[in-house]
Amino acid sequence: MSSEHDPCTRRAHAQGVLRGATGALLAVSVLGAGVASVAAVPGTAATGTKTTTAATGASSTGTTTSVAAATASAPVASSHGS
Amino acid sequence: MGTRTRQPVEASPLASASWPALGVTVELVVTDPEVLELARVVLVEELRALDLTCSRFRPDSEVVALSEAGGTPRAVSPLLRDAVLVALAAAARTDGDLDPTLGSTMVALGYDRDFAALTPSGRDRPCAAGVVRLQRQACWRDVQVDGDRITVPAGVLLDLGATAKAFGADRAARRIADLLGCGVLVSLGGDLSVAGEAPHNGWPVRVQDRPEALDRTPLGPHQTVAVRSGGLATSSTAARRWKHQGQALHHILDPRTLAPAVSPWRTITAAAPSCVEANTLTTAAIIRGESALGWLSGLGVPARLVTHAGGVFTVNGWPAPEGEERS
Repeated sequence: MSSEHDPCTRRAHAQGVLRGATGALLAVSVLGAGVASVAAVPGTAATGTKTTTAATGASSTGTTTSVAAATASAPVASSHGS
Repeated sequence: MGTRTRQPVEASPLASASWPALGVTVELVVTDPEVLELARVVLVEELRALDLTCSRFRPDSEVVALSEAGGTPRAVSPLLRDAVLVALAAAARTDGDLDPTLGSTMVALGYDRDFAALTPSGRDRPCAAGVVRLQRQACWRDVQVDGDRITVPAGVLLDLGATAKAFGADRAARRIADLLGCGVLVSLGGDLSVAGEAPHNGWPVRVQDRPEALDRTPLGPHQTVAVRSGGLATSSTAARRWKHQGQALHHILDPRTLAPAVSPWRTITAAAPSCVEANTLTTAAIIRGESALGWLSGLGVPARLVTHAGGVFTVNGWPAPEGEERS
């Protein structure tokens, strides 16, 4: 099921945005150190919607790294609990 | 070992290999198929050294010998010294959330061998002592490093499991990239590090709760992101679970309670300049529970947090979950 049709996910995301917007979570405002960034692979949910969100994050180490959007492609590895 | 060539990202194919080691699945991907075998040899050697040095499940490992030194200083290899320093740095970074002196506690809770060696029925293991009474004998601050000599308090079994795989992934990825001049991705049980020149569109990596094959749709929320450099790590209470005396346990211990962490999050993923840093933060975030969202936000680290109900929170530019895939 696509997340946009899943009330649970929609609720959780809305909650996160709300908390950020109200100042309870101000992390986004401290961005800018340009250390890490993550972007969605174009959405491959049931709708086929593509998302290209990209952002820059910061790390306390000050070491530069980058993570960027990719075109739609099959994953070559996974990150998971182990 | 399985190997294959993929063309998922660009004209030049990626080549990959996967095999079991250290109780987890190893994934190796390189941007030059011609060096895959050499890269595999390097990685196998790195993992063999890591296992001989850092595994608390091997009676012949260096870390077990160090733990049995009875509180006296012992000269150690550079690899073990570095692994211990990484573990202590992670402890300091997280105010002790990641404490490498909890090995004996893990044993008392039934996690006394490589997890892959625990059969499903064996995961409900009786405790020889009957009722477990857990007490802290020491903490990470009591471990002393002086040059190549390390002193572990008597009675303490070091458990480097919280950081060793991430440390190994970072180390191996860098070494392979340096030696072979290619882009490389190393994943040790989901602790993932990349080095060298990434594919044009980055390394597509699927984030999920548990270790599940890439050709299968994983249970729970999952998302594919592109990694260009640094590390990606995921900590989850949904993975590496076992039963002990009828109680369901997982491997992320809260050092304050000496029990598996009670957390509103089942899975947390972060991207950072290294896999060690990412893994340190995600593990500590599970332990920190409700405060994890604010903590990770304040650190500026892109992260994705999943509640037990499957709700997904993202911070610091991690892609919004609209593209999240669910099953």
